Amino acid sequence: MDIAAFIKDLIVKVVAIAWLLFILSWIIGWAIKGSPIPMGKARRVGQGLIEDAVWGAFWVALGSTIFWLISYIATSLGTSFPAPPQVEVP
Amino acid sequence: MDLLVLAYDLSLLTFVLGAMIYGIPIPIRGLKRWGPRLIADSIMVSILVSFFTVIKGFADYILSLLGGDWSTFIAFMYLDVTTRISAILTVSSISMYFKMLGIAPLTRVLGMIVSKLTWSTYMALILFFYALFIKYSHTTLMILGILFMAIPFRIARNVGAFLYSLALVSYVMLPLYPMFMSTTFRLGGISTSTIFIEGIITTYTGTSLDSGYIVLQLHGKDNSTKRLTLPVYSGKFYIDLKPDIRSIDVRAWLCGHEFYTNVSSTPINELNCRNLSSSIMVCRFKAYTQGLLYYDSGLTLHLYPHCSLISMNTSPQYVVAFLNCSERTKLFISLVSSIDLQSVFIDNKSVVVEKEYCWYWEDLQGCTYTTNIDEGIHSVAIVIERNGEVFEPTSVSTSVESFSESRNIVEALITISCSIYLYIVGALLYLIMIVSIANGLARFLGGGIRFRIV
Repeated sequence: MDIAAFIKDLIVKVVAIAWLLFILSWIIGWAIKGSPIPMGKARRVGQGLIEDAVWGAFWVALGSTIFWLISYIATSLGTSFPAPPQVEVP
Repeated sequence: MDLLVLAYDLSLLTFVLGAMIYGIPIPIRGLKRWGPRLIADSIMVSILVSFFTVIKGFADYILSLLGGDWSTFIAFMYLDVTTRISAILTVSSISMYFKMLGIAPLTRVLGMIVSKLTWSTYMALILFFYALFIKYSHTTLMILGILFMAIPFRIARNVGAFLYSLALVSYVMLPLYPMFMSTTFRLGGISTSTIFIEGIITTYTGTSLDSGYIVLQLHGKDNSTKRLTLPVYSGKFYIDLKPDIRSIDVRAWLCGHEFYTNVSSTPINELNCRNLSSSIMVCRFKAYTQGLLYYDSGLTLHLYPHCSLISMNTSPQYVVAFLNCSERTKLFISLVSSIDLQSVFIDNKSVVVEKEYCWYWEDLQGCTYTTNIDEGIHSVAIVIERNGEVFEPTSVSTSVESFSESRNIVEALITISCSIYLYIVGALLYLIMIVSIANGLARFLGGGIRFRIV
């Protein structure tokens, strides 16, 4: 299906862009944190950027594990449910 | 199923989009908040997609636990709508009669009753068609709902959540409608329990009859016998009975003859019944008519003693059957007077048929012709010509069940008024309940899971 292939392609591209953005914002965050601007607010902005970048990288890395866990629970629940009783007409 | 895979892919896309937004080096709070939101949404959608079969199985399980069954429910709704329509016809014919007599106030009162009954029939019809719609497309609706929820940035999440929850809630709740309708009957301790019967009447070869009539003989526990005549609607007949019936006989009533079936003096508990609730029992069974080879709108072919049918070819003008008879068999051809018997061929040779006797079938006249078939395999062809429009009786009187006795007049009045109210308003009430419960579930799904991700 065109849309499915398009979405899969998009996912690969977005993951690549995400990794690049993490590295970029991590660098920018440390740069702002380490810059000689005396305002505490700038330091906090830098701190926030670093934290978010690390969290984002964490979620991208963990994404496939989470989705595998969900499908594993689904299949194990699906096989353990009893079948509902059926009424037959003679 | 393609759509489910699409929804799963969309949820993966939403997840990585959310993670990417987390990492954008623009420190705007409003933009950054989309990150955890998108991640939470994607996990919820992927749970819905993966657990789709599990949730459906769970819904089926709950339904069977509560005693609901879709095919029984459809039969119940069919019966409900047909009884309402016959009630309207009865009351309006009574009001016509009073109008002829000139009693104006009574006609007005009866007119009011007819309008309430008509309104309630519309509601019951709406519920019936909604039930059929849900029965055939609840899976599609659920999948569509998940697909809408999976679109990133919550574009269509509310729509999807409502579609999904409406389909799921209707699927579980609709078959519980007969139990809901029977709640008033438990008031005051009066149990007016009923037995709903859905029967299929067939020839001895198993082909079901599309039209015609059956005669039901009910043997009560006090050894009384009651006769009811019922029409056959596309192969099935429906009736609701009081539980003080010990056994029933089903006989096909076609062209002036009553044909015995295998259901004769059969006790109720041998008819494949199941309890829908403590006061409603539903029985569905097949009745094989002995000796009946073929019936179609006023033409009946029956034989004695017995031939096995090899194959049959029919059209509005002829019937061709290949029979294997183990002994000399008499073939009876019963026709209403508006059908002309043109010719009968056995093994492609024309035979002379004898007119044995004539009969009345309610208000139609007809006659029975016979011919003999020797032992062995033969082909029998019957050519007819239909003149006119009427091949089956149209005005058959069906008896009405009387209301059961009650111990206390006040209890009886309360039960009567509650059951009348529920009878008229029940369908609409139930639809409103379904929609509001679905709304609540949609709020739960569409409101989103409040993960506090930093």
